[in-house]
Amino acid sequence: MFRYLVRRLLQMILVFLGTTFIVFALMFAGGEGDPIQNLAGEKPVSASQRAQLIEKFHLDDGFFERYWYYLRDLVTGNLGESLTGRDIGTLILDAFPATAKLATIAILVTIIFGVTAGVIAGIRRGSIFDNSTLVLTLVIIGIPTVVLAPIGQLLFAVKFPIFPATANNPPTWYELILPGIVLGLLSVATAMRLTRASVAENLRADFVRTAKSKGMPGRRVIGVHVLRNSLIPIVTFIGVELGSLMGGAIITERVFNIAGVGNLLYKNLNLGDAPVVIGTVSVLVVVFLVANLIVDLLYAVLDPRIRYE
Amino acid sequence: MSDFETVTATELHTATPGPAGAPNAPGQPHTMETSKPRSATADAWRDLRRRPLFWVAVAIGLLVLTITAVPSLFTSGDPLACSLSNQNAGPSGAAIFGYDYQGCDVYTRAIYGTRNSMMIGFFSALFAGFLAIAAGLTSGFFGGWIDAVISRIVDIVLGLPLILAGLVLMNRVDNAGGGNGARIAAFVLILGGLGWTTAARVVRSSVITAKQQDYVAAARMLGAGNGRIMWRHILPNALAPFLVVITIALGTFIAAEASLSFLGVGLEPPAQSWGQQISQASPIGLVRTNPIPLLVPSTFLALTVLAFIIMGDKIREAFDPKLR
Repeated sequence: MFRYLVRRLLQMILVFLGTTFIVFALMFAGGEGDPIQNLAGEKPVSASQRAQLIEKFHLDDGFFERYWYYLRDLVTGNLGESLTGRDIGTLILDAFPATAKLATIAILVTIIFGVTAGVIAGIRRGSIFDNSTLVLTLVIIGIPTVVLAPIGQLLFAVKFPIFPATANNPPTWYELILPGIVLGLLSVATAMRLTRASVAENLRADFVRTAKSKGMPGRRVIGVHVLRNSLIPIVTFIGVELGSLMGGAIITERVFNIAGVGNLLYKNLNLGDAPVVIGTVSVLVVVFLVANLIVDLLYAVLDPRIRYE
Repeated sequence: MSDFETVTATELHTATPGPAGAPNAPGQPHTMETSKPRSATADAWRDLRRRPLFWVAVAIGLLVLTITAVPSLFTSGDPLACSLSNQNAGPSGAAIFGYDYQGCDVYTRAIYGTRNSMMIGFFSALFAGFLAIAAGLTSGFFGGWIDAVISRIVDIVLGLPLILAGLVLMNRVDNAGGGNGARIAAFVLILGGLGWTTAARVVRSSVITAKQQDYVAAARMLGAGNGRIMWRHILPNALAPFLVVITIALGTFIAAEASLSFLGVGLEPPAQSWGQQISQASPIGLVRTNPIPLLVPSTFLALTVLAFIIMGDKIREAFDPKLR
């Protein structure tokens, strides 16, 4: 286990270096106008101001030197300042609660609807419920968020005004229900299919037949023997999903005007504020990688048959 | 090499002694000819033919391809002929879904948006498929340090979420300026370059399984080179799972183009694409007055993506003996 942990961490560091390097290279390579003039807008910038800003943001240094500065700051948790002089860490922390709430609702929706429907469909394979949910989930997987979000807004906020169309800053839980459902629908479909397949597989396992033949009541067989084994892939799926939901919420946050991390990223991309973009993307990538790592380790805890050597 | 293969093939057909220990006894040589063993592909095809949903998806796919090739077949209008006097006008004989906020014909725009959306999706999938086969085949076949390097590259690219990285990259392209031709090329490079990893892993695992088969060892003993073994003996095994993944990826790429255009980093007018149309029609104020300009391109996009995902899903079900 320890050796596996070390190897997995080393792998994660490598991936982290690779992804941040790509993001950094793409944001800085090539001309993007004059960042200092972008900052000042129409106002003229004096030579001394310019020199000071160049010094402050290391704009005169070589590419690898700047990458080194950036990496050092990132590891020490200091994300630096935006071009407008605000602390990037604070910006992200301010935007984080909204996105975290949104992701929580999405995950809850996934668990409540996806896993429940998946268990029922898996137990009653071939039934009407099973077939109709299979088709329904396929349809949901096929409809991109960019369609689902505006149409959800049109249906449930404009035609039938049950939920507010846009959120305030900071958003309330109620305002986030509709966007959370829209965001969670895709995972609902995948979770349902995953649960169904794994329940159906476990129902045919030898230990289930043994439990049944020694006279154990059906509820206990399903609840203890089947479910516990079936939930292992679901837990991993939800863990990975939580990581990707953080970044995947850009469109939902745009449509419902939620002041979350996705919106922060979008806004600063259009403003050309490279430090904020790189900081946000780096944080999102780290969240994604850490979620994957935790999931991998959880595997061993949940399923004692898995041993990492 | 090819001589050897033709010889064995004809020998098998004429003599039909069967491999040693085969179930057909020499006394009944005709049974083998009548019940010709079906290949896995033929089995899957027989299964696929009986699925109505698959045919619906194929029909939609063909329709969309026709629209891509000749959009003027489906509408006589001009997507750029907009007149503010038509602003938000309802459906009429000239425009069956009415006009949008700018007074453009909604249906004609969606029809003309098909080409760019489909082209980006198709060429991205082609590029991703090429990368996936190249990477998966090399790493699976050679193993060792080559496999380690390629697998780490796959890990790194997989660590970049498609929309997130696509947004940053397309933003760079946006800032650099350039025409819509350059933007389409950029889309293909970016989406293909980010989306090949899953397919590469699928190819790699099929290659590793096929590599250990006896017939590969036999081919090598007969003097076949690496290239020939890879193309003739190993790649065909990886093709079915690869096609499934890449069909689904085609749907994902079309959706990704729409998402990025929605976020404002895609094609620019006068070029048309579904994502751009959804983006223009989706501000809540516009939706309140007239939702049709949002609904039409959304339907086109959703049906197309759905068709490709259903196609991939049904092909996978047909190839998976467990589900049969």
